[in-house]
Amino acid sequence: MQVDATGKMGLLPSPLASPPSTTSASPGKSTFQQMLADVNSQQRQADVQVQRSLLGDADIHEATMALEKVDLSLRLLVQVRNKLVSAYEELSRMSM
Amino acid sequence: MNIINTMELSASGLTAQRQRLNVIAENLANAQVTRTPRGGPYLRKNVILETRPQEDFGSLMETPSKVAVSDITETSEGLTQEYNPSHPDANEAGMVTWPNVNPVTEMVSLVLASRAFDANVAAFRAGKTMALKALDILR
Amino acid sequence: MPDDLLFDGTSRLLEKTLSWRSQGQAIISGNLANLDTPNFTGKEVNFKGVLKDHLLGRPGIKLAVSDPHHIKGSPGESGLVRDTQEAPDLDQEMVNLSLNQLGYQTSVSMLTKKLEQLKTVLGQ
Repeated sequence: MQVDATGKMGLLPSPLASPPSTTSASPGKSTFQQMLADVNSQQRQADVQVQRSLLGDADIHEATMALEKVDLSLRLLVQVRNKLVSAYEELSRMSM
Repeated sequence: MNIINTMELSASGLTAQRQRLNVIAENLANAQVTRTPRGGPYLRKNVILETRPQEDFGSLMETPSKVAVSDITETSEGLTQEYNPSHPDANEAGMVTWPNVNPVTEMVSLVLASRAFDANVAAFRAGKTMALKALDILR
Repeated sequence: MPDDLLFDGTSRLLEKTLSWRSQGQAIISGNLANLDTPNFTGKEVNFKGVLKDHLLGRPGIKLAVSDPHHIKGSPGESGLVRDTQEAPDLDQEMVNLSLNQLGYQTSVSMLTKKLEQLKTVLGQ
């Protein structure tokens, strides 16, 4: 929610309201695999930023922000993986 | 523009101001010198500063310039003459030429140069703090 | 466990920068200690140059040894330390000291972050 100059309140799209789209996955790939690929490319991006910051072409905060984003994405990925694994285990525990 | 380059700018300011301080100190120390190896009284020295663009010429419009000392000139205007035939450096007419150093003006310049030095140090510190804060993102 | 399995190129690069930075610290301390020494010429660490060489895959300057008449070049970081041919300037050296320390801290923080990521994946 944001109040603009005239005092009107409007809804700005916040990252929480619209989660990063992982639903645009191709039919061959699962959502998890898509997330994995995204984290991978983010990781490569962060590496490039780190190198650039060491050379002096990029500001330090660009590299640190990129590293932090990768860290958060990675943690999310790990949580998702854990959930998937525990869901699978629960399924296999069900007696047939 | 990288914060590191900004700090290098401040560094050039520090060097330039320090040279100004050195020259002012020399002027003050030699304010009463009537005899130099070259002959004649001590001539007041003045520091000329200029901008010097940074080495990597990405685009001359974007990169701010460093400051550098381009020249230290001597000026001979304002030399005062005094009638004192008993002075060892008096000429045939009995006139002694004293240096054109005015202690009051030099002191003012000293204070200005010192303030400029402090300002550059403050700018450098600010840049360093900003960079360190950027590292805090990783904590 | 080989290094490549756990540590990618960036982590190893960051490690290398740490050793360059600590060498830089020694050089700068030497310059500051010898400010008043007559005939002393300042030395500096050519950080950007060595980093670029490293990224392009040619650490140091490798002399061609294709012909038996060629002199064997010594490996190692030739080109890291350079002589500036002039006396060290107090202000510039102080600034270099600060920048070097900043670079060191940057590398340490980034390396720590990468190690944390490894730990996350390993489940800690």
